[in-house]
Amino acid sequence: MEVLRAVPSLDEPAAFGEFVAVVEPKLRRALVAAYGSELGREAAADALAWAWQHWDRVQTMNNPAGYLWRVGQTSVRRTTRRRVREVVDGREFELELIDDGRGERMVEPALAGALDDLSPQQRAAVVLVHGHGYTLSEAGEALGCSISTIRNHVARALRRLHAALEVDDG
Amino acid sequence: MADFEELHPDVAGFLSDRAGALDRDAAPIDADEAVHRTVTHSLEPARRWVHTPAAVASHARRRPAVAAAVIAALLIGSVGGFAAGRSSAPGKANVAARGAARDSSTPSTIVSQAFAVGGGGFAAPGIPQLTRLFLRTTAEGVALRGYLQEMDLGLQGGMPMCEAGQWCPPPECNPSTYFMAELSNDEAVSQNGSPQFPLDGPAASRGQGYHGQQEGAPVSSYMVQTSSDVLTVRGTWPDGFVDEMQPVNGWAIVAHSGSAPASALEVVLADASTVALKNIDGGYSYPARCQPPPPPPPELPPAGKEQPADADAARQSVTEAYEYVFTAGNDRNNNGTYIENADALKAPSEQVKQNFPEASDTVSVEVGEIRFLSTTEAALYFELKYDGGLLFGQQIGYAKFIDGHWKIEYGTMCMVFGWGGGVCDPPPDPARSTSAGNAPQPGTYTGPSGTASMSSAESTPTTTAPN
Repeated sequence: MEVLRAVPSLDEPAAFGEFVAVVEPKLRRALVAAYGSELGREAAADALAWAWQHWDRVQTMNNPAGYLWRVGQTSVRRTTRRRVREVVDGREFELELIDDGRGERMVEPALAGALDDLSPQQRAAVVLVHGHGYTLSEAGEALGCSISTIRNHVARALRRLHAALEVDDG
Repeated sequence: MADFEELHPDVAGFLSDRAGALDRDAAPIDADEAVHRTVTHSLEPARRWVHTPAAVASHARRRPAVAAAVIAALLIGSVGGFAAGRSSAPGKANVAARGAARDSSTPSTIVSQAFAVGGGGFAAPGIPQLTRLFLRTTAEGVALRGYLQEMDLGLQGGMPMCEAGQWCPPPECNPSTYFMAELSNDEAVSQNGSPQFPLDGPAASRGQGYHGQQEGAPVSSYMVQTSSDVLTVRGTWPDGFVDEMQPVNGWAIVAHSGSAPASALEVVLADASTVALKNIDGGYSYPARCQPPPPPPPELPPAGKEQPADADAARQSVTEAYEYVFTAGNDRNNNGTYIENADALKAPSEQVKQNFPEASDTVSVEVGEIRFLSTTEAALYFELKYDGGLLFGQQIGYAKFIDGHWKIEYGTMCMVFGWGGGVCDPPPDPARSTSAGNAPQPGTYTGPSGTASMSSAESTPTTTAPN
């Protein structure tokens, strides 16, 4: 319902380009980890487009990456909502989650299912921290939440993943 | 990497591989892609509340059934609201639905904490009250509750801060009254809402609800705001199911089990006539007066040194050409008299009529200033009006004096056809076929429900073929 705002003047793309270079990797990785490659990338692109349309506001934010994570989540909800409607047209509804067939080494198959069963926040947190090597602070910035929240997300995620291996992590 | 957690090597390897695979599959996004990307839906995240819907819903799943139903009523969430999952709490949802059947229609009042609009949400100052307008259980057992909520909009009355010289929505576009719809069936509870906007006609669709998708019990529903002239609101679905109700205090909800959107949404007026509501697919009809007007077109080209001998007569002829071609109901067989190279335009004209029949059947035109560039060429302002979609405001068109008649220039017709998917062959002169304002440029059309020309989330791009 929002009427799109006028885009910033054309003399601002340089600053926006610098912003994208810094924010895009963590934003894309978080959304892709949470919602899968295709849906997550689309959400990240939507969020960055939103950032450009609201560039004046974004520049004043304390943690624009965290806010854009939420914008991306909204985009995912919009997209999946539209896809539900496509069932009517005879197309198959498929909520896209992380593709579980791309591991390069032999792993316990239950791990993929366990990862998919996590909440989007838990999945994003654990992939950012233990997949991409982000610090808790960096992951918290990407997901717009505190270090303690990220710590909890990661801990719970690991418990679920370890349970899938029937590992006692003490 | 954080070292706060013992990590099993298999898990570590799995996560590392997964991260790498995701990186490979999702190419980086550069600033150029972001700048040129079209976002047609509001992506404004809901504000975070102290008591978020998720948090309260989470607690609800661990509470008795009645408590879950009460908390559902206290929550005003986004379209999906929250759902009591079938696997987690079937009994709770059952109670919520059965309780609905026992309720009377006597208005009641519930204290609420916040309200959401079309997927976004905001917390209102103060603690608004919900007044129940109606409770209705459909033939399929879906309980529909309608509430009105008065919001304290604060000292500024909710009006946005508008800079001097900028368009500002009128006060009625920031209403303090909101409607909330609550749906419940055996599997789920969901809520949706809409401001009580001014009406452009007897009624308007104020949003399509998606309910119970994740629980496998979907319900398609519509909130409809009506004037006092409306006796009945009726929704018809592709399988033939019809749901209807009399509006209460200007609001109604119609619903049908399943994911399919309604094939028709209409209201019956006091004189027994029927009016079809627009924007069923988008689900929301936004008041025209609450949308910013399209920017004015550029200045007309300067007048030529030589003018027609009888400028007034020429001006009248140009106006007649535009009015004949862009007035619904006139005989198209005569268009050759009023359009340059009319034969070449038959194909794009048919395409646009096929894409946007309603707009084509209701079109009219207002012709503004006409400026003669020479004795045989004119430039003018014109604006098309029609039903069924976004208007593109005033545009610059051209006319030529050909074979004793002033005719609409080929490029102008191609510009209009381009808005609705008509493609001219041969292509027109770009200098004479460039749209102004928010109108899409030729070649950007992506379909009747496409996005290339949309400037607001719920608007449907549209155009019109000459009558």
